[in-house]
Amino acid sequence: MESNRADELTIIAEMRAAAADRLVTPWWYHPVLGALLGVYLVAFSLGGTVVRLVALVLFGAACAALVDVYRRSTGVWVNGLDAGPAGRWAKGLGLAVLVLMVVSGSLAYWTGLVWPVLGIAVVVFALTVVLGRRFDEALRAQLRAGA
Amino acid sequence: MTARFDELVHAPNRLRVCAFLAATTSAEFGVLRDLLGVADSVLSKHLKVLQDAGYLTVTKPTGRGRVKTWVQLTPEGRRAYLGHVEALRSLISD
Repeated sequence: MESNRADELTIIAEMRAAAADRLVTPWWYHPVLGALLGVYLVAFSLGGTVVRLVALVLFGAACAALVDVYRRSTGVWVNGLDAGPAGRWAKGLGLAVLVLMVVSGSLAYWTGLVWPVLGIAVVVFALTVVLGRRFDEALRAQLRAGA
Repeated sequence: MTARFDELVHAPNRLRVCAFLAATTSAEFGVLRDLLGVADSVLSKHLKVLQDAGYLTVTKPTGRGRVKTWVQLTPEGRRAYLGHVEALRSLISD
């Protein structure tokens, strides 16, 4: 009986490892997501109300299309906000982008300067690539850690 | 998490399905079929059992290209699976 239970735990560990093997994000995914976030940040910081609304709609549509392509290419999907301990990287990225958007929008509003906004957009791009990949690594390690 | 042995989850192929789905948010039907190494009809039967119990949802998003079927554990299914895993651990450690 006990060996059957141990076999079941082995099956579970194998399936978690199989999920980790499947969750290999295409190399272009995070750069594209970072570019979308950067462009949206620029539009949000420098544009008027209409530009902001159009940018929000286009950003949402582009993100949905990106997720769809990811799902179709890997056959699996993991929501970063619902990924256990590894999700702290995704949540950290979301929080960082939110803070940088507020900083960028405030700078543009109070100074009217364009270059700080462009600089922050580059930082958002880099953060997305770095933290996005850290999330992937943490998630795979978490899944392989056992049942 | 309350340890509770679950007969529905216990069957080897259904345990495989639940373990894989618990590690993800959703998975495509073809991925599960290939992992289990079974025919479409066999996987469909197992999914139906779990679906009827309210343990998972099966969706077929419409859109361009070939329609793919996606499978996802419900909160109830996730609880049942995690309770089953906890029960297995308890039995092993006793």
